[in-house]
Amino acid sequence: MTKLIPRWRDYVLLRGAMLSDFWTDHCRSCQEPALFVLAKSFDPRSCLGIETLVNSAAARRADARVLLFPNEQSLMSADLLKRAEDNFKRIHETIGPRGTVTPHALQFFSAEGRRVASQNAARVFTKSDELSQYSDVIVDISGMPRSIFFPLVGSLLFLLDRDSAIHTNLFVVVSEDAALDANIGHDQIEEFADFLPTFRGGFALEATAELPKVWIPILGESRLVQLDRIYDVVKPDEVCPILPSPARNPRRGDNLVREYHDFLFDTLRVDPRDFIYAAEQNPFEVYRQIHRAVLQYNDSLKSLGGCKVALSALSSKLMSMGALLAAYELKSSDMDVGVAHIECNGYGMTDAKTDSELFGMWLAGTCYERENAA
Amino acid sequence: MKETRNPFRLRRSESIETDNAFLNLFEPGILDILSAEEWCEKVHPLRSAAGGGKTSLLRLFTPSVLHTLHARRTEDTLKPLHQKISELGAINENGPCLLGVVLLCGQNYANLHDLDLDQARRNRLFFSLLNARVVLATLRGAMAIRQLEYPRDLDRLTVTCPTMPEQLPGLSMPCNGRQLFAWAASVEDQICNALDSFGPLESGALPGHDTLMSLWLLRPDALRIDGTPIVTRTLLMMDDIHKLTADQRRTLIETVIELRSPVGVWIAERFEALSTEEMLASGSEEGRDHERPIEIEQYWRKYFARFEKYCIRIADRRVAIADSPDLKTFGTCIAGTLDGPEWTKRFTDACAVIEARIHSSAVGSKKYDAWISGVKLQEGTPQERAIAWRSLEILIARDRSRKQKSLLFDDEPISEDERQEQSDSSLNHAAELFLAREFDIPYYYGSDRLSRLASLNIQQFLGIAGDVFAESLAATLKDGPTMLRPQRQHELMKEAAKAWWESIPQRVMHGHEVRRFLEGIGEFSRWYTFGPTAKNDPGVSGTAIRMSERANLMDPEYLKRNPEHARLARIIASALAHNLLVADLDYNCKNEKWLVLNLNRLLCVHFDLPLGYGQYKERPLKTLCQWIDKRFSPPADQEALL
Repeated sequence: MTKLIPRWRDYVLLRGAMLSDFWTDHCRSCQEPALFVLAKSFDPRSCLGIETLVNSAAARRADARVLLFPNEQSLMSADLLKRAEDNFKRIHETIGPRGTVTPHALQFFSAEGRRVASQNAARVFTKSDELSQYSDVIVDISGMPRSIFFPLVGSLLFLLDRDSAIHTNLFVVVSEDAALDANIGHDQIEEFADFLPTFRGGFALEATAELPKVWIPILGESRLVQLDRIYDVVKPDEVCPILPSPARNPRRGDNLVREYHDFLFDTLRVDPRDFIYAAEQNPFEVYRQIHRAVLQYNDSLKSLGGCKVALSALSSKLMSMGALLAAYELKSSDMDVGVAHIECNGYGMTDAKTDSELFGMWLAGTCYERENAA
Repeated sequence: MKETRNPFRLRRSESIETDNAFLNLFEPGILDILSAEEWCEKVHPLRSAAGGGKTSLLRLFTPSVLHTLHARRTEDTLKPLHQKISELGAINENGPCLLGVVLLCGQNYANLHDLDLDQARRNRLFFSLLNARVVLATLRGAMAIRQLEYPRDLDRLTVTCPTMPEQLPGLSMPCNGRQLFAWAASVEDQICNALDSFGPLESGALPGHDTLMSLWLLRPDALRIDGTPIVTRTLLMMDDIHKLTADQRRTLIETVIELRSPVGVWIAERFEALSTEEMLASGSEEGRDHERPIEIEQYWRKYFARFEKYCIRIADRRVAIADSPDLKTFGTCIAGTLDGPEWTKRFTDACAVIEARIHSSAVGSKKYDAWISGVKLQEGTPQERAIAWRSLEILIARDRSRKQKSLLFDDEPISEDERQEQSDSSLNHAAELFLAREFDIPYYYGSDRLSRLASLNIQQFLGIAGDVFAESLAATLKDGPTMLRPQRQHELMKEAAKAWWESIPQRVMHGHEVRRFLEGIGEFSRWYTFGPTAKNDPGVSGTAIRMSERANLMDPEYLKRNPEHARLARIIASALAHNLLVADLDYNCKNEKWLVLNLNRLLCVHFDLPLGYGQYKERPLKTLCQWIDKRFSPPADQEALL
């Protein structure tokens, strides 16, 4: 089998009180300010990350770069718009005198109505100088769609990887609440799925069109339309769905199989042996499972020239991060791994109560440098 | 091929893995859509909603499928298809003689449009990427048509094109296949890598082409293997054109036309991608700058009876490959009549109820005595007698309605002959529908109605038929009767209609508004259909606007001045694009021309409506606009509406 030691074989993942304690400790030795990157969002979880971390190290200087989605407003009800405004105020109040809040307008749609949010998200940071003044960059993805945080986090990793002189740490935090996720409805799903910019994975290449295609969707509830439309763009030869296991609800994986039974077994004709199981609350485990599956497929199909692999994150954002890490790393290793995705054009929220838990992932920076040096 | 439990769930051509399986499932009736003379000449847009059958049609003309068909030409199940393909000139006694090149146009192109470059530069990048991909797809096809290995055997291919108006930058002609492959792969790689990079775009180094010169390389005389031309005709089938930007799509079509393409070109796209104006124009002859588009649903609309038979043949093929010993044809899965003691009693009870109603409403009058006696004497099955009684009730209601209008109070008995004259099959259909609703009797069952429920869309049919087949298949495991009862068929159709209805906001752009609008049409149609006199029997399943109003909805200036109509136009276009509405253009009625908007037949199930097309009740634009925001409610003064 192809030897490629996973970059995040050893990792730092913290949650709840452990994350707060870690942050308090970590900030004691930091001289430079921290930069929070987050979205102005209606999601009640979107401020929990910044509030928790800033309050855990109240003396530390901190700036915030807040992504605004000006023409996304047409997709939301007045209630959701007001919630987004309130959350924006909370960000200002949290940062207060510790630093500055810089809004960053990110156009969702082009003049002719096409989605260009992903392309723009990959260009929020274009120079490593923008990061070097901070010792920590924390991206809170709780209020960001996948089409935003995939290219955004990917571009940050790229900038940090490219310039070895920078020692900025990159963290991603996300407030996880499966019940609230279920309460947020997705309407008016885009007509056609597509590969995310910077994560096309060679699927567009006609020169290698004959290579087998493998699709690894991370399954989540109520995403049949999305799965169907993504399938249409990937046109896979093999499908390896990822099910959450272990999960807080031990039956969740079974429930998903039951929900998508016809689609999985009659339309896709998935071989039950091809299911991949990954921990619901550990993105690095998801990453590791995908990483291993991609290498195994490439190895098995070597005689055909390898394969192209499409990942699709249709579950929680925490699990989605595993797909992002795998796609980023394997792309850096010149493997054809893309992220096929589809967005919706309307949201609805039936109940805004949240009982979420904050997770933090340390993706790049000093802890990995020490690891590498050792 | 991986085994499939329910072959009806293989709704896309690409989910069918092997060419053999594809041919086993392909039903040749759709080939009638192609004009025998010029189907692979000139430029033909090919359009349909998702699931209309475009991709299957494209796949049929690919080299490997044609080879497989030629090899199996003596098999009885494939003879009709082989004959049709031979008549079209894609295959001869020696094998395939058409090089069909399928090119997916979905990826990367739209991103070119977003680059921070001037339009001319973007167009040059667009053409260079397109040229590279046309070349690569052609090379693969050329190897496949001669059953050579790609890319290993590309050395054997020589490419010469002395008539090519311009050279492709960086490519020296003549050349061999391997050199051409290297050139095209490099062009594609440079552009795609630049687009997919996290780093800044350095567009200056990217190759730019002025036009679509690659079309010349597809000419039959340009491609030779071991010195011999490989085919006599070529056809470039560009799929997923709807994924290009509007500018790119226009540029591509204009360029192919201006270049007087030396080969046939199909431009396949889904309705969902058309603009509001294009969608409302769909099916008309206006303003064409290319050959008349092949619009699959429009074609079947003309030949709907043929479509319904076509559906059943498709279903039979699917049942055959399921290889279940108890299920041989789709007909063996579904019962088509309401037989048995349960229904005999239900119809007999219905007759008694209706007869009692008629008697009680006619107390003291002898006017309808001959009619009542006539129905009493009528022979037939319990169902036929119940229909006769319900028809009579409708006729009496009509007679009374006329009497009220004319303010006449004659109570002269009417002869049985008059009843016979006023009775026809439409009235009986209306009566059957009324009976179904009033006495909880299945209506949506039997192969005829199930194929009608497809609403001219194969994918929709496969979904519906797949539900039926799944239950029949399950019954074989339990050794129970495999023929699904009408009641269960009806329930399955209702469930499918409900699920489809509920998914509209998720699946469709402006889905909430579209669904409210459709609800207006559906509720209005139901109210109108189930009126006591059964006007427009057997009932209406749509509405209509004047063609002049349609013209307004397509006029950008008019729409700027009338934003509520702009919203309506957008909603109608979205509903048409998703096959939720089926349009009939230039329908003549009342000395005017109408655009009839029929509800998709699966939506008719949701609203308990009949499954015919063409029965409608027109409404003014103002009313249609109101339905978007406010539910239809029956008017207090019924006559005001008529």
